[in-house]
Amino acid sequence: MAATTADGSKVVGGGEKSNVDEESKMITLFSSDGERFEVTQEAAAMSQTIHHMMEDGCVDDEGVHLPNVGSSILAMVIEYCNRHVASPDEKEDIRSFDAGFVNVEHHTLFDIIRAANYLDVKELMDLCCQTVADSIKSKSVEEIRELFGIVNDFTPEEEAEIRKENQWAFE
Amino acid sequence: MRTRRGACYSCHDDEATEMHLPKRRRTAAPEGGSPSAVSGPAGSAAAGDMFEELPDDLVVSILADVAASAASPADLAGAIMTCKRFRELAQSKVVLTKASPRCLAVRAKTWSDTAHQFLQRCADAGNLDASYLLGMIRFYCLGSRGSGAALMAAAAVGGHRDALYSLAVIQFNGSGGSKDDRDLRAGAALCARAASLGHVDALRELGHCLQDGYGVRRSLLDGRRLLIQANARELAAASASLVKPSSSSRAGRQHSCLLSDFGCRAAAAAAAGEAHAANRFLSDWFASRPLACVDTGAGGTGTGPAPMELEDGGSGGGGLRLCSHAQCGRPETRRHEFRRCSVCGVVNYCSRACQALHWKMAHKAECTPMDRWLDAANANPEPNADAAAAAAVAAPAL
Repeated sequence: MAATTADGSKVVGGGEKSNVDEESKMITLFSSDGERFEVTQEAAAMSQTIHHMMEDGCVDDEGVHLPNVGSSILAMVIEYCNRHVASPDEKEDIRSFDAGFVNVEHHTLFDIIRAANYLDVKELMDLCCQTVADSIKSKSVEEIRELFGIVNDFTPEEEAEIRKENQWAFE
Repeated sequence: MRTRRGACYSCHDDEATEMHLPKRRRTAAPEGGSPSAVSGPAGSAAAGDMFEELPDDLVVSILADVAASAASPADLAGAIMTCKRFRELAQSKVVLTKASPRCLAVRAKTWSDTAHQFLQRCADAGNLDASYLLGMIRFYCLGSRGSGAALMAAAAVGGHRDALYSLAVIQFNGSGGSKDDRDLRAGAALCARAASLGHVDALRELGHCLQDGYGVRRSLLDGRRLLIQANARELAAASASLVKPSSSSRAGRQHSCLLSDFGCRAAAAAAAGEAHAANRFLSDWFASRPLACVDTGAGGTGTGPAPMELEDGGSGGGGLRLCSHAQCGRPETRRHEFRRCSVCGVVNYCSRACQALHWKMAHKAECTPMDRWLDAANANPEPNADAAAAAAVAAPAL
């Protein structure tokens, strides 16, 4: 069954058993819902988890199963890795790519964070955590709670105490 | 393991039973009635505490990023006040160590025990800026010389150049002790370390020390070299921080301030805007707590600030004075600790670096031996008139 990777190129599956193609050194990744993605080994190696598996020879002919990552999120992570591996020196382009990349709903962002944590892609983790941090920084307490759906589990007395404790920080 | 309703919670590869309930996903709740989810104000069924999905170490990571990029203490405080989990995780060492200087920038008017505890916790976690800031506050504002100096020393050992310079000033002046506690060589050594890390005031201070043979072996050339280096760094920092679209970096442009002993006025003004939180705290603190006031002299001209001299004998107010360079904020810790301008005798400084900065920003226009002339004329006409005239003439052209 052929699958489409994130950048739209169709990949033929099933024909060749070995997934180590001499020309492009591809590797197959399977998401939790069974969808199949072909990526270059170089891009896949951005994930330290996969990199270690490749190094330790744990990658068999079939590819790597990632039961913790859904297909839509995996597609995004692969897109990120492909872009960063392709032209790592074009700082401006990469910056604008990153800015567009994280311009998603917070739910998706959090899913990417967990996936990047599981796959151990440091740059992606840093990027997404900083994005979340930036959206926390500029907001008041109420706005933060609203934005992320956080429940206020302080009792009114506790809340008053906390407010007093942190009063010094607000001018 | 079976629930009361007979749902089977065994492994995934188990044969699906009729009663097998699909594992509830936190992120989407297409089936209604998910009791743990709290619907947001927009009423979206998918809303829940998004942070619940993240393990603690990731939340700590995010909070650390907040602390590291905070523009003010309020940024982190807002996160802390959100819920219990955030409050607890924000105490973690990772977050406290990464707190940026701006995150720690307590203002004097909101100083409180809780602010003190926050800085203490950050210092204990190993945050050098917190160590330095708390050290300065304790030493100068709260009067605990020992613990203040110890905190600054901890920061200095870690390579914090402001702490190294502040300790040098303390050594040069014997702050917290008597005149005999001054240790010029220790001061010069600390200054040298700070200067090697690029601290502009330390470079300037050390340059003057070398020129005068103060605490180090005299070397005019080395002193001059350091003064020029200080100017260059100050200019570079100023042009980096000034946002000028039609920039003035024409190739080969001469900047005469580079060779001056005191640097460039514009650069100093730019640097003043970026004054360290510690100095700002000190200035604000003593603005509202009484110290003896110093009169500023009338206008006049001069070519350079006079060498400073120790003020002995009691002319002028009882009580302690502040360094006349307003952005410094340091107070004396004993009477007559600071040295004054020997021309006008009106202003006094904790260090030559402050003297240089104040000279180019304000004192150049104000320094005049007017008061001395008047004093001399009123006291004893003949001999002191000569002495006063000699003092005025002796102001060196620097």
